[in-house]
This record gives sequence, structure tokens and C-alpha cells, in this order.
Amino acid sequence: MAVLVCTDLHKRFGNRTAVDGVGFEIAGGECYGLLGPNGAGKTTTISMICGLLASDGGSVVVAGRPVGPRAIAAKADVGYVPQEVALYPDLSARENLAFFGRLYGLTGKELDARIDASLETVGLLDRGGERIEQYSGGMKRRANIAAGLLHQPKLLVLDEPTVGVDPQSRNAIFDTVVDLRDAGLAVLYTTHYMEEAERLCDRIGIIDQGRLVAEGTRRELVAQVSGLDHVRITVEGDRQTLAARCLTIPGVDEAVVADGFVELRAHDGRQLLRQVVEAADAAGVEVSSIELVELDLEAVFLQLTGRALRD
Amino acid sequence: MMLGRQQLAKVGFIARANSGRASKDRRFLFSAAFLPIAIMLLVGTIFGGGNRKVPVGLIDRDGSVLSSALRLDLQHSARVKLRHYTKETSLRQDIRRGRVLAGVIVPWGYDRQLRAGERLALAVVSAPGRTEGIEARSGISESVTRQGTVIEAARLLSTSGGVSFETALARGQRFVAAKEAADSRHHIRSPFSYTAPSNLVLFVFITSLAGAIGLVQARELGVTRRMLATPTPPSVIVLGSAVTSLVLAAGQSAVLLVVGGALFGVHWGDPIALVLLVAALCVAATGAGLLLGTIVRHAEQAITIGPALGIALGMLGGCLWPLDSVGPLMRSVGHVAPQAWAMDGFIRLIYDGAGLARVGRDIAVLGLFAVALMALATWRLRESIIRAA
Repeated sequence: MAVLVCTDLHKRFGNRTAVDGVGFEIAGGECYGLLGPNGAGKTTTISMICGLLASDGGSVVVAGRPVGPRAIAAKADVGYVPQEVALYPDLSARENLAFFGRLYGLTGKELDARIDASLETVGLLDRGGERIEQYSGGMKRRANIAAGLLHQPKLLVLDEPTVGVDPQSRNAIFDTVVDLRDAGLAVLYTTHYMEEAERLCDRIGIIDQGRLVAEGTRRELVAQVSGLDHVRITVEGDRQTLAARCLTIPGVDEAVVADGFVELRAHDGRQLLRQVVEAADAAGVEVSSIELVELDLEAVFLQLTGRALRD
Repeated sequence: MMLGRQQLAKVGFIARANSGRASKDRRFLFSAAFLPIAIMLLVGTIFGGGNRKVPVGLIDRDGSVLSSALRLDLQHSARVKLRHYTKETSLRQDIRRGRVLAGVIVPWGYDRQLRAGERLALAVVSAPGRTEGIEARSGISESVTRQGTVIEAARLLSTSGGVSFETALARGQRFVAAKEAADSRHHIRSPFSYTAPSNLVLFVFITSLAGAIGLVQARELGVTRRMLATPTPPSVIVLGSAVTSLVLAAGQSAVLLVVGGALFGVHWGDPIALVLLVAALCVAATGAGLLLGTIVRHAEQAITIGPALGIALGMLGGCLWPLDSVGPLMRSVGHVAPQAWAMDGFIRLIYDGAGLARVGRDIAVLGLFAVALMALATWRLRESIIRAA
């Protein structure tokens, strides 16, 4: 049964459309990744899901209750972990959790027990008495997650939780997310790192310019765009000219210009390498490498949107 | 919007958590308590004057029975050491040189006009920028008020029949002389009587304005946004922030009042009027601080602007020098700042021994500032909190 049901969400800021008809569902025990570059509409979407922002259209329902800025009680079903470490640095993790716990209506022994459980989940039980400002970046992020788990939400929303985190702490966060998912929590995970989405998420929604352009498991997404070989030419120089010349090569259906490379979608890509080199010579660009790319989410995103994830 | 019990409890949590954070912050304790007490001590010791009689000059142009009575009253005043002048230029020169701190000029026709029951203005000239000027003016004011009362009583008795004006006047003078002698112990004034309230007013505002940084930091850290993601309406967050600032301002005021009274011997005056005056001051300062918190964008701006604005308004409002010592225009301009009304109230309480009735106008105006600032601040704060989401 779906814990989160988002239907046809819309949000505009002045003339700019931030979210344009986004809709998806997440079941309990499922991790759903919202993958998109910065400015794609991920944070606006989760702001509406967490009841922080009113939508201009569409609806958000969590555990059967509509969520919005005025639906105060329904917010108890959502655990929000913002992108920044939204904790008081001069308080300990325990004090911060007590503060937010009380805002969720927890008191007394129940609050103490939940604080212990949350700190244990993120591996900070023995360091909970230390002030947040004394933590490493990774520990701060984990304490940030603990504050979102405190009230045992049905849906956990993680907004780019690994930005600026060292690899060891990142792995610790991944393990926590997997454990939570396995414990039956519905997890919405936004990121612009495709490796994270591939590793953690059961299903992935690709969002670009406010629209959900594709959705499914990794295998389903790759299947949506496969059929053609992807030839990536890393070059220095005028990539637009190279792309135009490559499009004249028989068998090349599409040439996408990205940061540092040109990617061709072609039939039988292995047979085109000599012609690609000739096209590069003719375009006057210096080729660093030519590779036949196995499709990953980055390639899926590139094919679906015409842009790289980090553009 | 009415808040339920649970939401009201959250207001308490927010206020307790944030005021607890502030009370653990050494920088806050230094600037909110230690610094004002140190300045009180320093300024009071150097410039306070205290129990010394303040030198006051007198020019008696009338040379009449009633002007002599005023002169004698001033001579016997516990606060004033009288010097006589014949020329106004000499009096003004001595005021400039600091030989006397204020001067009274009794005009021609003083006796005649008062006997006729007419209104009369006495010119009082004082030294600018010296806190003892308040003491001088207060001493003059006491004598003039006393004489005015005696003259008015004598005039009423003589017109109602049975007693001549001179007889009634002589009885009145004897009565006030006896009362003045009996009350003289009350005239012992602490040298900190001006610097204690002025620093209280100044620092309650500075601390509240600097407190804007807390609001900005909560916004910058994303704590406000996170609070909004909990089942907590924006109005609870606004109230929590307001109560935090109010608790800190009230706590700071209480400490400075106790230190002023216990350590520096300041007689704060009528307790009910004092409580109302300090309450209005705290609410006005809280409103100003919250409002600033909604205007500035970054914590650095709050750090820079808050204390500077507090000092500027304090200068304007008579916290650094008495508004009595500046010209009428600057005095009027100064009352644009709520600090001026607070200082007026404190001076009336401490120097004039005034009660609630006489301080009522100062409290009322300060209360209006408080209501206006608080209303504007809470409205803007609510908007800024919703925007933070």
C-alpha cells in the first residue's frame, strides 16, 4: 500500500514554473530516488510533500492524510531531513533532538527512549552528549537524519543528505537508509548523484525543469532509452562543430553536446570509430578519448533531457 | 488564531530552549549583564555627583518678598548650593566653565504675578551633557514647586477671608521648612541615580536589537524551516521567538534593577510604576529586536546594525546624556525614540519621587511604542517564517 501519493503537483514562483505536473507513489519499505540536477525542482517538490509549501495544483497524501502547510497534524507522519544541517550548533545532539521531539509532541520517558533509538540508528548513541559544532561533517549529517527519525514517521524525506560528506560517512548514511527501508519505512531520497540513486533506490524518478521525465527501476529506465550504441568522444575544442560533422556520418541518429564531451547515439557504434576520428580532424578538435558507453543513469538522464546531470 | 494547550506548551519549549542557549553564551552574559554594570560603576563613580550639593546660580531681578522666599528655599535645599549673580552673562559664563551646573532667573514682576494668581515662567539655564544637571534641575524644581504650593495656598486662604496673605504665607513657609528638615534624609541620592537607569534602558535595547541575530541564524541554519516541518504552526514559532526575547529582556532588567538597588544604592521609586515602566520598556525593546530580525538578511548585518542602532537610539533618547541638557528641538526629536520616554519615566520616579499618576503618560507612550513595534514585528516575523519554508 502506498504511504505517499503525489498527484499532479504544480508550483510556480512568479513567471517561473518550478514543478510542473509531478506525480509518483512510494510504498512502505520502498526507497524512491528523485534524481535531477540542481534547480530541477527536487527541493520544491519535497517542500510540498513535507507541508512546507502550498502547491498551486495537485495533491500530496501521506498515510491517507492530505498534507499541506495548514494540515498541521498530518506533518507528524513525515520525517524531514533537510539538505543543510538544520540543528543548533551550540547544543548537543541530544538537546537538539529533545527540542525537535517536543515540537512533535513527545515528552518524558517516551522522548528519552526515542532520542536513544534515533541516535543508535545513526550510530551516535555514545556521542550524543557532544555539541553539534564539535562533530565532523559526516556526524552532523547523521545527527540531522536522527532528528527526522525521532517521531517514527511513516515517510522519511531525505534532501541530498550526502552533500559535502566524506566517503566513510557517506557509506554510513547509505547503510542507515537501507536499514530504515528494510524496517518498512517509505523513503524519498533526492540526489543529483546517480551512483547514490543506483545503489540505494528501488525506483527512481528523473526530474528535469520541474517535470518528471521518466520513472521506474534502473533496469526499466535503461530499457526506455536503449537500442542504440552510445559513443562518447572526449575532446578539447569546438564540440558543436564536431557534433554537426558526426551527424553527417551514416548510422548516427543523434549527437548530444555535454560538458567536455560529445555523445553519439548510433547503430553499430564500433564500426564508426574511424569516421568519428576523421570528423574530429575535419572539425579541428583534439580527441582525448573515444569510448563505447554502457548505459547508466547518467546516460539515461542525458538521453532523456539532452543535458548531463551535473550541468 | 487560538492556540491549544499543546501548542502553548510548544511556545514554552521554544522560549525555554532559546533563553537557555543565550544564558549559556558567555558573550551574551558579558554584553547583557557584565558590561552595563561595569559602565554604571565607571560613570557613576566619575560623574555621579551623589550626595554632594550641586552648585546652582540665581539672579533675582524682582527683589521681592516672594523672590526672597524662593532664594531662601534654594539656600536651605539639601541638593543645591546657591550662588548669587546679578548679570546673566556672568551666570552663563560660569555655567559654561562648570562653576555652576544650572541657573535660575527670577523675572521682574514675579511677586506681583504670583499674588495675582497668574501663571509665570521661570527661566532655568543648565550645563549641557552633564548628568549632574538633572540633579540641579531637580533641586530647583523641588524648591519652585514647594514655593508655588505655599503661595497658592496662602492666596486661597487670604481670598476666603480671615487671614492675610502675609500671615498665611509665613505659616506655610514654617510648615514646609519643618517638613523639609524632617524629609532631608530622603534627599540622599546615589551617585548612580542617573547612570543606572540610563544603562538599563540603553542595554535592554542593545541586547534586544542584537538578539535579532538569533532569528537570522535560525533562518540561515534551516532550523526555522525544520520547525515548520513539525506539527507546529508558524504562530507558535513567532510567539516562541517573542517570548524568548521578552524573557531575556525581563531577566536583564531584573538583574540591573537589583544590582542598581543593592550594589549602587539607587532608589528606583514607586514599585508599581517601576514594574509597569520596565514591562513597557521590555516589550518595546523586544518588538524592536524582532522587527530588526525580519529586516536584516544575514547574521553579520544583525551583529553590525543591532548594537549600533541601540547606541544611536540611546544617544537620541537621553541614555548617554540627559535630554534636559539639550535644546528644545533636539529634546523633541529625541522623543521619537522610545528610550526617551523610558528615561523620562525613570527620572520622574528616581529624582522627583513621582508615583504612577505622574509617570503614567511616559508608561502609556512607551506602551504605545511597545504595541506598535510588537504588532509590526510579529506580523513581519510570521511572513518571514512562512517565506523561510
